[in-house]
Parts: sequence; C-alpha cells; structure tokens
Amino acid sequence: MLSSKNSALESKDNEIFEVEESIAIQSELIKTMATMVNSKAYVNERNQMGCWKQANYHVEQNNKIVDEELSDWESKFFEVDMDDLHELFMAANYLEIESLLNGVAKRVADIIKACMNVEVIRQTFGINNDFAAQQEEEIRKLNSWNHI
Amino acid sequence: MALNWDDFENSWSSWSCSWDTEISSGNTESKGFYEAVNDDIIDRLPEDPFGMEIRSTFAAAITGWFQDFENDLWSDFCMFGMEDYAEKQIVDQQQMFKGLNWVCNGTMSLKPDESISSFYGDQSSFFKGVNWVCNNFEINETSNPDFNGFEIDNGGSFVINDEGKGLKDSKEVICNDNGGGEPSDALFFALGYLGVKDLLAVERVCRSLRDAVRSDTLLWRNIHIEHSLSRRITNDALLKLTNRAKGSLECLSLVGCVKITDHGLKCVLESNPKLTKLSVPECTGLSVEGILFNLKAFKSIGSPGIKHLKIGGCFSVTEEQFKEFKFLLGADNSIQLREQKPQFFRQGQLHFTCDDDRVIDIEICPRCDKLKLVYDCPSESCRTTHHAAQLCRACFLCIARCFRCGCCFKHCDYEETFTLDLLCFNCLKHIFGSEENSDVIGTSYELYFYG
Repeated sequence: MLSSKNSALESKDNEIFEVEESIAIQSELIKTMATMVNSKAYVNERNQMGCWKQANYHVEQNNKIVDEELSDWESKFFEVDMDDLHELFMAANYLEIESLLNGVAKRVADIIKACMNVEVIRQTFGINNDFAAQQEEEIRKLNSWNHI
Repeated sequence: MALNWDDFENSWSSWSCSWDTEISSGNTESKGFYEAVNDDIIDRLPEDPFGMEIRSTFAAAITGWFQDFENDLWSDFCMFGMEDYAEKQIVDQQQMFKGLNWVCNGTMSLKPDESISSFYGDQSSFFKGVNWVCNNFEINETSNPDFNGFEIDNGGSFVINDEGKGLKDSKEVICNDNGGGEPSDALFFALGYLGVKDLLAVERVCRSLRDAVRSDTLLWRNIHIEHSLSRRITNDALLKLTNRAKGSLECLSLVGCVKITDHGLKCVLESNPKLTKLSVPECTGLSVEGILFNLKAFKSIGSPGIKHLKIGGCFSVTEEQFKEFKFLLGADNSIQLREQKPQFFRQGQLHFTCDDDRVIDIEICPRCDKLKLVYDCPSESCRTTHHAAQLCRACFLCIARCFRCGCCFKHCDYEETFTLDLLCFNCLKHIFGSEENSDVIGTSYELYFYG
C-alpha cells in the first residue's frame, strides 16, 4: 500500500493509535471529523480500548486480504464470546464502519441460526421473556402451522 | 383486614373485591366496590373467593388507585403512597400478582402537572408482569400538551379499554421494561440476515424483537420458504407471512410447499401487486393451468406482473402453455439466450437465487426436444468455447450429471450412490477427504446423505 498520512486517534482511555488515514476513513464518523479537524481527531470512544483496536485491525485486514480468504479470516475474527461481540458491535456502530457492522450482524445471525429453539436464543443473548401468557399463546396459535 | 393469600392462584385473570377504605395519606375516605369488567368473567368467578374485606394500608393504597373521578392520580396512586412496611409485605407476596390483570371499571381522570410529561410507575418488582386494564380512562391533556402517555416500568402492560370491552380488544398504551435482559441492538441488525424460519423463532423471544420482526417490511420483501417450513406451510399462513411486507413483496420462493394450492397463490398475488419473481418448484398442490390463470389475472389487475418464474421439473408443460408463459412474462427469445446466467444442476435441486434474472427456468431440451429443466455444464472442458458450452446443454435425462457439482461425465468417472445419484470422483474425494483410498471408492457402495 502506498504510504499515506497517518491519523492519530485517541480513545477514551487516552491511548493514541496511529492509523493509516485510508483505513481510518473507513469509519464514517472519523471521515466526517477528519474533514473538520486537520490531522488529529479525538474519538470520544465509550467502549474499551481493545474494541477500537479490534475494529481497526478488522478494517486493516479487510483492505489487505483478497476476497476468497476474507470469509475464512472473517469467520475466525468473529468467533469471540458474546461480550466481545457486543463490544465490537458498539464500536462499529459508533464509528460507523459498515464492513465491521455487517460482519458482526452476520455472526449474530449465525449464532441465532445455530440455536435450537426460542429458549436457547434467550439464554445465549441473555434476554428476558417479557411476554404475558396470553401473548405467548397468541403467537403460538398464529404460528401453529409451524409446530414449533 | 386479612387478605387470604393462601387461596390465591396465579391463574386468575381477574378478581372482584370489595373493601372499605381509608387513605393513609389523603384527607378523604372513600368506599368503593369494584367489579370485574366483563359480565361473563363475573359469571365464571365464585363470589368473594378470598373472603376479602380489605382494610390494610396496602389495600387502601390500591383503592386510592381505583378510585374514580376527582382524585389526583399522583398523590393517591398506590405505588407512590406506600409506606415501607406495606411495601415489604407486598414484595413478599409479589409472586401472587404475576399474571394478574387489574381491571378498573370507573372513570379516571388524569390531570398531570405541567412539569410532568409522563406517568411513571414504580420500579419495584411488585407489579412485574401485571397487566393494567382501565376503562374509560380520560386524560386531561389541556394542562400539559406534552403529555405523551403512560409508562409502567414493570414489564407488564398498561391498557386502556374503551367502553368496557374485553381485555383482548384493549389498546396497549405503553409498556416499558427497563431492566436487564433487553436484546442488544446487534440482534436487530442481524435480523436482515435471517431466513423465515429463524425470524419466526426470534419473534417469540421477547416483545421488542416481536415488534421489530413484524413491523420491518424490508425483512419480508423476499420470502423464501424451504426445508422444514415448506411441508407445513398452509395457504393461510403464507398469506399472513406475505402480508407482513405490506404490499411490498418482490420475490417469493416456495420450494416443495405441497399444501399451497392455486387458490392460496391467487390470494397472495392479489395482495402483493409488486411481486415480480415467483418460484414454485416441487409445489405439487399447484397446477400449470392454475399458475397460468393466476399470472393472467395478476397482470390484468394492472400490476407489472411476474417477470421471472421458476416452476421446476415436476410440472409437465405443453408447448402451448409454454408459449403463453413466455408471452405473459414478456420474454423476448433473443435477449433470453444472450443474457441468461448458466443454470447448473447443483445438489439435485434448484437453489433459490433472488438475483437470477432468468425469465423462465424450463426450456426445450436441445437433445430430446421436450420442455424440461436444461442445465449448463460447469466443468472446465465444456466451457472453453461457446460451442462446447452449447453442446453440453441438455436436460438431466439426456446428460447425466454429478449430483454435487453438476458437471457431466465426459472427462471423469463417476460413482452411483445408494440413492441412485451420481457423484464424480472429484466430489467423492472432496466429501471423504484425502484419506480415502481410491480403490475403496471404486469398488464399494457407500451411503451418502444430503441435507
């Protein structure tokens, strides 16, 4: 890759990352900010440092790897536990990095697909069942053809 | 007073009680008798099952809530006015209230302060899961134009019921569960990558997911029914699913949906004028005449009509019908031959591809001149020239193909499986890995299952 201007990005933990600008602007947020500020953008990241690091790494790798290898690399990259995945999602959402967002969404979708039934989905994602009994019954009747 | 908790059962959906009350914090006393809303519910309930003559502070607080008319909701509302010991009592008994519906048959007038924009229920777990139904609820909004509704932070629902209708007719005002256990936003993003089966499962997880799945029409713009759903789905269920797109359905694929009939398909078409791609292979409940008729009717109501149709190999189509199909679909022969993507015999069945621009999947086989599914050959040797590619185009009966990759057997050997499918040696090696001895493959029958 051609060397280009490096942006210095500071996370909330006051750690400074030197990121190649072409990669940094994968984040829509930084792209917008970069047009406003010269070469240094303050990222008031509310997530952990590791998260930004990962997001950055993902974007870097994205740009380097060819398509065929990408899916393999990506599937390994997203094989993290739920907390990390969540952090990654928050970072991607905040920084507006589309490729990362899609990657996380696909991974979450795969996790959902692997769940055998509704209760497993709830347990995996830590979601409470807030249905009243009659509402659950209503849904069950609606989907009675599904026998699930 | 004694509330007879012991006899209480969670399965009660409504209950009547009478009490004399004293409001601890207020200046007024009131007596009231409250009955459940519906007469039919009343008829089913025994009278005063708990021997309740409620006189406790708690009851007074509740009654304060049930009082009608002039009381200012804020000061008399039980959850605000409760004293500590009463609250503790309630918390101890909280499981009693699960699943309860509180029915208020009176007129409540809410006059919120100007500074308050919403009515906010107490956070205690006491009212978790309780549904509140209030008849004839009036909200006096004049004093606060910003008032935007009720919020009960208890995981239950607060329902306004007009004119004493039944619970199920009630409108739900707002219900808010602020506690942990809410689905992360990542889940909502992931919905777009889920198929119909998973969406229906996710719908049952919690309320916010249910609402997201039902209200997002984008999720239902391309519907693909296959595998386990396809054998079970009925006309009615299909119509309900397609209606979720609210008229924006573009692509519908039904693979092996044996319960769908011509009439069912007709209903779907009528409600979805924007449908342009239809795929119905192996749907044995349909008939060619029925499909033709539906397509004609669909076009006549003014919609652009179906432009891409897949009917698969199980229907026998006459030449006349084929001509009609092509006419209805607006197929232009020369364009079709030039631009269409190759069709491969992969995994023994047509895979759904929404981006396939082929107008119709069947055509006249160059070898047997019958209307069949005609496949192209993916093998390298058959794709070197256009001529070679054309030579290797035929229906499955004329040119045998590998079940997995779809290549012909001109340049490689093959093995017949137990299920009478054919597999080329490359695919065999791929399935069993490099450990497999080629001698073994050549001489034995193996059982292969394909999902």
